[in-house]
Amino acid sequence: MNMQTVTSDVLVIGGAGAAVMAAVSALRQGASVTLAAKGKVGKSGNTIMVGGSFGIDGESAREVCGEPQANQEYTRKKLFHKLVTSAFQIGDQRMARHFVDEAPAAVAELLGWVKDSGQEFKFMPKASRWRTSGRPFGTALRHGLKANAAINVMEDVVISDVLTSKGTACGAIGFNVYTGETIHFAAKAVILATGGYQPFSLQNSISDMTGDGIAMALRAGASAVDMEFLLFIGTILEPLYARGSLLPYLMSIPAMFPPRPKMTDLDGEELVFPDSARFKVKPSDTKVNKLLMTYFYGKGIWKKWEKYGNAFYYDYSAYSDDEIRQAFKAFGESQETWHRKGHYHRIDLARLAEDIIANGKRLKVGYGNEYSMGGVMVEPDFSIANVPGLFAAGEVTGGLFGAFRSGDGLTEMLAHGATAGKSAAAFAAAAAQAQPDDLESKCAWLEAPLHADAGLSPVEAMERLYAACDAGFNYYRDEAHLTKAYEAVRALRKILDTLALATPAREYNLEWMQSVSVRNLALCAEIGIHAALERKESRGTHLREDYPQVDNKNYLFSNVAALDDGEPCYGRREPGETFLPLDREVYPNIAECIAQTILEND
Amino acid sequence: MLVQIKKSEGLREYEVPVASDAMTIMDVLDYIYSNLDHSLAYYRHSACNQGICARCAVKLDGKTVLACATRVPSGAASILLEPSASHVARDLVASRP
Repeated sequence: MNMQTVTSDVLVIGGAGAAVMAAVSALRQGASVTLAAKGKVGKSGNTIMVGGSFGIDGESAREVCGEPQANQEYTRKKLFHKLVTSAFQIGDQRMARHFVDEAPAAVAELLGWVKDSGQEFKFMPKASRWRTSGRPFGTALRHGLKANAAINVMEDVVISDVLTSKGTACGAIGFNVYTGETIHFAAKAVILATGGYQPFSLQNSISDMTGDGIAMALRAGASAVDMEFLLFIGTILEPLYARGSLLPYLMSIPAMFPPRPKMTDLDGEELVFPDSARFKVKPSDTKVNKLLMTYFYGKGIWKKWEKYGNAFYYDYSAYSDDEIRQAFKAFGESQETWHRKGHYHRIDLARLAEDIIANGKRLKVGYGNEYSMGGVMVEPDFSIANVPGLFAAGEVTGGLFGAFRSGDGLTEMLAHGATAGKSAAAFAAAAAQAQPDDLESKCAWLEAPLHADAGLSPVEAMERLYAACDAGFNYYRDEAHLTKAYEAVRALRKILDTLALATPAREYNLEWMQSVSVRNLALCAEIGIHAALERKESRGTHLREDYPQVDNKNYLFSNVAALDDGEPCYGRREPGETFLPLDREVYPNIAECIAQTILEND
Repeated sequence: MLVQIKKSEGLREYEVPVASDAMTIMDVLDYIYSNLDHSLAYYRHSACNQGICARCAVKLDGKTVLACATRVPSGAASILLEPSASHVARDLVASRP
């Protein structure tokens, strides 16, 4: 087989925070490192889509990151407690402990890169969080990579599979998107840092979130955990030039955007969030509002799901035209450190204000997928149980956040990356480079669509997948919709081995790239929907209209999946080692469980 | 709206329904790729679609713009899209944006 081979001790797959931190960490341990990124480092991955801030506990912010004003009441213990309760108790508490213990040093390293690259993050002492934006974050990561120049960086490479030798990871196969050249990466250890999976048409994340790392790990013999849990936040549907922006989430925080919208369905009927002290959140708990809003507003949206689907209005008709204009102007001014004057990323805020006013003072919004809690099941050192030599870090993993992420994905990726890099380097130091026994079969899988004469286009396949998940696997769920979605995705996966492309050109062939991602994303979706069907209760972001109770008596476990001869097989993982005792109460619904266990507003 | 695209094999024309100038050039390209021509190459992998990654540069009527951050020209009957650089991987994609 004629292809380029790139050899190193450790191969890191990914282009954002987890990948850069893992690569730097592995290099520091003396390993030779190659980093293969789907896009350009610092300009790809979910890292650059950061909405506004990330944080750690106040004690560590002061002691490790040198922030003397950090809120000392927000202790390590409180952060740990919040992680465990927000995970609705099914998170891996060993990973929560790792997050609390290891993130501060990794954040401190990042802050060094921020300073050295001339970027500005603003620390907010009370919440113990740093405000930032995607571009400065990406620039800092790129700087960190450049400061470690021995890392071999290969950008714009789609990796389609991890390669194995007798079940041990020994590299990967992929292709350069510009030339179409197939590349064999030979490595003694492989780290997946590829992000999560999002099988929906409305996302506020980067186009990379196609579950590649999760599916590759599954095909290599790993398990996936908690795949039914996906996080959603308010995301613009219209106007089109702003579609996909997470601005509505920021507009839901009074300190950032004071006018309070009335939420209505598309008929103007109000969606109600109860005005009760029980559901009020503290500054360090604002993320919990994401789930409360999806729960309360989603309940109303679900009533007209068949008619309107995932759409509702932020209605500002209680405010004058000038009050609306002024709110956007002030918001723009608060963002000027990181955005062009008067803009939030690509959005001209004055124009958006005028378009909202012209639309009856309404902004059309849906709940867009932001993050996936589920992913590859890892050990506390970020190795993968059944696949020696394979490691994972960041959003691609599952287990830390269980059923709901209240901690920060940005903090997660840095902490995971640092440890995964160290573990992979140690593994590589004791391993010999093996020859893969699946190079030919996995190359054939990758290239099959290029040579097929007839078959379904990956474009249509992705549209079918989105349609099935939009309708039946969204943020509100019930048995009938989930069953329909499951059957549709099963049927789709049966024909994904016969994909065909409009052109066999290898150079920048979008359909070819999509042929890889749709097969990965569909596998993740099938497993996620199956888990959602199995879980006949509500927990975290899994909101069942037909089973509203949080049932800690019968469902205090994680759903786990692996592949057996290419087909998913399913099991469970009971909570393992715990540092906080488990609560076996049954709560009538998600909001009550949040009020009592996370917010403790009794 | 008539959309002319300088593809690697020559100039191609597509008719794209444009309801308002709220549509971006990326929306136009997505429409063509999804509905009219699956072979079209335009920068869409690892794309933020929010003006953050700044990798989707194309020439719109001779001027280089970011496809995701640029609305269709108001009232235009036709537009011309070309690659932003002379070295082209395929169609509208520069070799290394």
